[in-house]
Amino acid sequence: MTYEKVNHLIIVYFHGEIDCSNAPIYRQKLNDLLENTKEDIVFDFHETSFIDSSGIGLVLGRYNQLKFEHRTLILTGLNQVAYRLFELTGLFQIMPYYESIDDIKEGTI
Amino acid sequence: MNQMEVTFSATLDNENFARTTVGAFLTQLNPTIDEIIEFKTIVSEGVSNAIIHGYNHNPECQVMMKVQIDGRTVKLIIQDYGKGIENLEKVKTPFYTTAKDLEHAGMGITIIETLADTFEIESVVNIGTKLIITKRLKDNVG
Repeated sequence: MTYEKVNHLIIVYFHGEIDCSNAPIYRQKLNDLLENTKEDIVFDFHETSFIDSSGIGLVLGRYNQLKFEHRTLILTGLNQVAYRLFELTGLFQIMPYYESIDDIKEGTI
Repeated sequence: MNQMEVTFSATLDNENFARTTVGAFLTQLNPTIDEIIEFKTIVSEGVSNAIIHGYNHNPECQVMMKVQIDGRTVKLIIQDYGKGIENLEKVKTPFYTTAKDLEHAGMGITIIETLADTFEIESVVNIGTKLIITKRLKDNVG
């Protein structure tokens, strides 16, 4: 997991796979990051080859944390299968999803 | 009919092994990338349920996984000999979880139902749980 600050956002890049075995590690790292920042957050999954329901739990948990501080969580880059599952869970009714990370970076959103 | 069976210790470290093994076995059917991801997701949800809920992370316990290929229909069985499920209707309810504090979304069974063509759960308290999933791959063009 890496991240960078672009304009008024912090973009978090997830690499490899997210499942039950590593979701708690991501949770800890993200909690540290969120505690030490004030910006809105983007989760970029373009480089994520696999994500299951523990990824959904991870995203929902961070969403709730950010919402409490009136910060926004934006998602991008899910593969087709993961997108369907996130949609099934209703996540896109509470947080925005963008196909292109460039649109987010260029500040056109 | 072509089949494989594998048994492994009930630790989440084996989740990647479990889904990769199924993915590798299915490559002989030339599945699409999405189909492979769908199977891997089903395996991941089923196996993590067995490890976390069936066995409470006891690595001395064993998860059994069997895959049968018949034409382009794949049957996947994931079985544990753990504590079983008391209320089968409840576990099928979206967002139902016994582990909210651990950020389990409670979507595992709903996800399997969504991705599979048929899905059955057989479970007996203190005997174990068996998931039986079938899914037909799209016909191979070219």
